[in-house]
Amino acid sequence: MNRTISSADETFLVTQARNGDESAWEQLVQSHQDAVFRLAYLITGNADDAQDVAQGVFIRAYMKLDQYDDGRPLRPWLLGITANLARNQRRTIGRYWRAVQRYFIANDRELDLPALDERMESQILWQAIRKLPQIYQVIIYLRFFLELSEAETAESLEIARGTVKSRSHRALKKLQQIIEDEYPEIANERTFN
Amino acid sequence: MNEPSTDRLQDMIRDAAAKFEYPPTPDVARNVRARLFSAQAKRRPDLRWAVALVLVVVLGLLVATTVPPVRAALLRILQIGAVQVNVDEESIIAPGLTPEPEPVSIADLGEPISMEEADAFLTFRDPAYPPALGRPDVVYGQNLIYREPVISFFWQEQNDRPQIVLTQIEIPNFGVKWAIGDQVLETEVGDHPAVWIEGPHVFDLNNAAVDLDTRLATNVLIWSDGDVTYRLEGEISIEDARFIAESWN
Repeated sequence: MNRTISSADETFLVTQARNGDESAWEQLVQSHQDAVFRLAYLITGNADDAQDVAQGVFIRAYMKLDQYDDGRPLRPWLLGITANLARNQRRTIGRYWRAVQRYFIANDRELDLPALDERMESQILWQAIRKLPQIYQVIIYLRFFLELSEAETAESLEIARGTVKSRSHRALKKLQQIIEDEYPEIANERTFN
Repeated sequence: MNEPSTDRLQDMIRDAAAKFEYPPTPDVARNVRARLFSAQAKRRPDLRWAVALVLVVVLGLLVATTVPPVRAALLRILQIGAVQVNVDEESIIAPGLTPEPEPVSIADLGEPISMEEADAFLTFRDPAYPPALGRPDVVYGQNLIYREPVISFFWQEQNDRPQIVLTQIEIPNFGVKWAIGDQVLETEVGDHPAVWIEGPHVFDLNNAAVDLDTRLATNVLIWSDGDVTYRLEGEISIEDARFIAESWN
């Protein structure tokens, strides 16, 4: 369930949660769990891992409520924690995945992965985004998938707005190159020039 | 192929994002409630202090003291850049009773990155690593999506040189060290204030991605230069550590 809470109510609920009001924190979790779970899913690529990350985010955030500046919106702060935790989770997954790949290579077997053309365009594009360095993936997820403004993205990542702009630009240029080189089927469907 | 425009690409990403099929969001709130508000898991203060205290007590069991066992420790607190060093001025280390330091865990250092990637995050120095050690065997990065990266150079043990790790820290609170007075020496690297800690000591790492990460570190030289803190760890002497650090200044 995803309930929308006004800014004033959010500040009030944070204060209540700081004072130990469990139901206040639960309302805040319900309000932000979609965004947190979705960002975690985009980064980890796995629903179970995303669920673990999302739970970890809200537990960690509750424990660190004293450090939260309630003059700022809660969502960017939560998404910043999400990016960090999901990245760590993915590192663990990455190690496992590489071990699996080594096993298949060593045993001369092919991985049974679904062909890209069986997927929807958005899924193909996601695969292309996942080939970007993490620093660029996160900025695309926040700006375009979760529709955060530049200011909110800057809050989440604790960087200047100018850095959001320059980093987004570099991310898009790199993504263009990846699409042209590795996913020409979606590049050709769209006439970019 | 023509050079695609990023405007069109942005439209394409927005379209894809709007159509993206996420798995249904699980009931996170229920699971968080179960984990957070069970009778055993009430909200409590940051546990780092408690864990560090427990480890200091464990360390204390290996320490011979000339004073009664129940007393308030006299603590001296040193702050070198992003690292706080809490020094117990009263205890002394009993010979032969010091615990073995734990080797640096690669997981502590972050993800391997290329020297070229690291260059983008390093403060200007030429070369980017201490000449006395040469090019590092591996470079690791943490916190790279933020503006306060932590970059670690790792030199594997070879011939008569032990494993060495040098970390460049730009986050404001990297960690807290707990040491006994005799282990700690205030010194300098070039003109910069530095602290040398000799022997195993508790190192509590403040890492947003890790709940509690505490270990026993070995000899370490810490110094700061402006907003950047450097930490050089390895089973080397203070003279060697300062020589390495000053070769880079």
